[in-house]
Amino acid sequence: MNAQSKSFSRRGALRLAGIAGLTATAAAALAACGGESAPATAPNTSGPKTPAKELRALCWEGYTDASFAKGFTEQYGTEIKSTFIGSNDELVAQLTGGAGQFDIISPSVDTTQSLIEAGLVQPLETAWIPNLHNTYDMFRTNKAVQGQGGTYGVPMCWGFVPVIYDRKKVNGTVDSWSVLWDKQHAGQITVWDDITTIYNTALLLGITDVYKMSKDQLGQVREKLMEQKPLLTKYWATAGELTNLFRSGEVVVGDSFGGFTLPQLRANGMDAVEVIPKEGATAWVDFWMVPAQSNNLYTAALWMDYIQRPEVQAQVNKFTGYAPTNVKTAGLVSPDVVKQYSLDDAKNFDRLLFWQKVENRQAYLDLLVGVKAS
Amino acid sequence: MTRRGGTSTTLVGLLAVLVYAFLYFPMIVVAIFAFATNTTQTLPIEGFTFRWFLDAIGDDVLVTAFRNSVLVALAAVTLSTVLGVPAAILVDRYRFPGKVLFQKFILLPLVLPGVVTGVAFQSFFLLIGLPRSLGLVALAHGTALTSTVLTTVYARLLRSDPAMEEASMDLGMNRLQTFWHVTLPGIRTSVIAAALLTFTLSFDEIPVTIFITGDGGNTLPMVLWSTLRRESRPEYVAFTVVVLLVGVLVVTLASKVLDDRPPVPIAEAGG
Repeated sequence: MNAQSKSFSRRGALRLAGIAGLTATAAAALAACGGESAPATAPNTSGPKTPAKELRALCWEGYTDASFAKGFTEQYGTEIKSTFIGSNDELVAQLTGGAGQFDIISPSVDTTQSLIEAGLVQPLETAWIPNLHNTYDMFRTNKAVQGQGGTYGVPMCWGFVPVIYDRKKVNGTVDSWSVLWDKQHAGQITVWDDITTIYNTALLLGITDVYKMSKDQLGQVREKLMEQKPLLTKYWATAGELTNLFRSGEVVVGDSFGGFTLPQLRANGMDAVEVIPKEGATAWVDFWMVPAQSNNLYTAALWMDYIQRPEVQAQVNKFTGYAPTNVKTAGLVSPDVVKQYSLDDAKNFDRLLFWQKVENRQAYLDLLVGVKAS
Repeated sequence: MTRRGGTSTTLVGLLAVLVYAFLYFPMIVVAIFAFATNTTQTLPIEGFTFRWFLDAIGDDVLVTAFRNSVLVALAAVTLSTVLGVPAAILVDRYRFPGKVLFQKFILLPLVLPGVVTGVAFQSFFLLIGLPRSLGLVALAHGTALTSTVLTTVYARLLRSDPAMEEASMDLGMNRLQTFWHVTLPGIRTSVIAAALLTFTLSFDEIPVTIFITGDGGNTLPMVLWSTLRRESRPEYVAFTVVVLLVGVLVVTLASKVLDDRPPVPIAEAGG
């Protein structure tokens, strides 16, 4: 999933590098090949219909882990070679620079649409991915992976951004983002050093279209974040850091992106819970997509179908800690996982706003950097 | 020794301890957690175990990445030494048209941020149609780090006497023999120092690597970087400690081989 930091850290530098890379490589690519062909409007099924020897992935670490990927290699004889990324910007930069060198990529839901519009990915032949029938509709029909050519992505895993808190230290019912502004917990609150923190603040302010905020609305968010700043222990950057902050008792309430933070805290005896606030929560999902130049659409489809199998989704959850995308997987994972992701109560999903491409993303990012620096 | 001297010595000693503590304390903390049974890196320590080290050594992703990093670093050292040492001799001993320009250009990678170098390499390899791979990473590291070798070796050459080489040739040796028997022994320690420095720089490099690797060629820093996002795993902490120990060992060995004169930066030495 996406976790771009907005600080002037190595991450920030990489994000800039991603943009720089995109510009530079796009120019180079243009110079190299002159006439660009128009993006495909239908799946190109002309490639080989037998499993390729090798499938080259550009993805998040853990998304092709041997614990679940070896079954694929055993069945089809296809070796998966993965190159890891640390952010979506890196993925875009790598993709524009190395067109044709990857068969599958795993962008987050706020990046997929740009890739489709830029013609960097190709439409999928869904007939080759029968397990898609059991995929939650919210992924299958997500606008972020739909385009002129049909469906462009199959989900890998997902999660939402809930409030997480220690029930022993935070009294009463927690059902609102306002808990992150509660003076009672001053000095014991942490929020994500990510664009998501802006979304969460907007939700609290009652702004409905958090991905298309006006300048005025962003100003309100800024004010609210400034009000929160003195109450924070710190802005967390990685899931590992978040877990450590709770474990050491430095924080009692914050937000997370799902994953292993909650199970690890509970395994260590902490009475931690995650809740979707009444104002709603944002959610992320990472998709598998096929770069436009790849010749291995068929093998990529085999992989996507394999990943959508209910039992494989359970294995993915076991390794990554993220939520399964297949309806039937709910019956195969532990009750804790079902509870964490509200898999038994699908109406909660209606309160989730899946990340989208943000047109004035830079203004959002500048806002957060500004709040942190002031 | 006067009383005053004694006080200042104590003060300097104390300051040194503080500086070293500041530098090494984070590493010591990491080392302690590598042996702790805790699954997260938080106090209190619940107990001690070697389990994480066994897990780390059994982790294919980590071990492969470590191997990749070592291979890239070795190739980069070889390439940068083969290019950098002759370049240093060229700059020090010969005059040629465009020398000043050559000196400035070859030092560019030292000045430029890694991401710029990375993007430049990516565009270049794309233009000439080379597929991204670990081999390209080695090539890029080797080329960019040539400047490091050049600076280090050049600093030493400045202090060696060209008359020795003239004498060697007066006595009937050809240029190659002179290089092998006279020049190289004179700069030997600086070449070793440059090689070690190059190895370290290549080993933990991220920005250039990210832009040109592919084909499953993940280096160790890339794996650590992309995993941290998700969780901080104890076996990764343990693996870091192993790498740290190897690093300390190499540096200790190297300092035995090398003399203690500090290298002169090229800018200061003038060119």
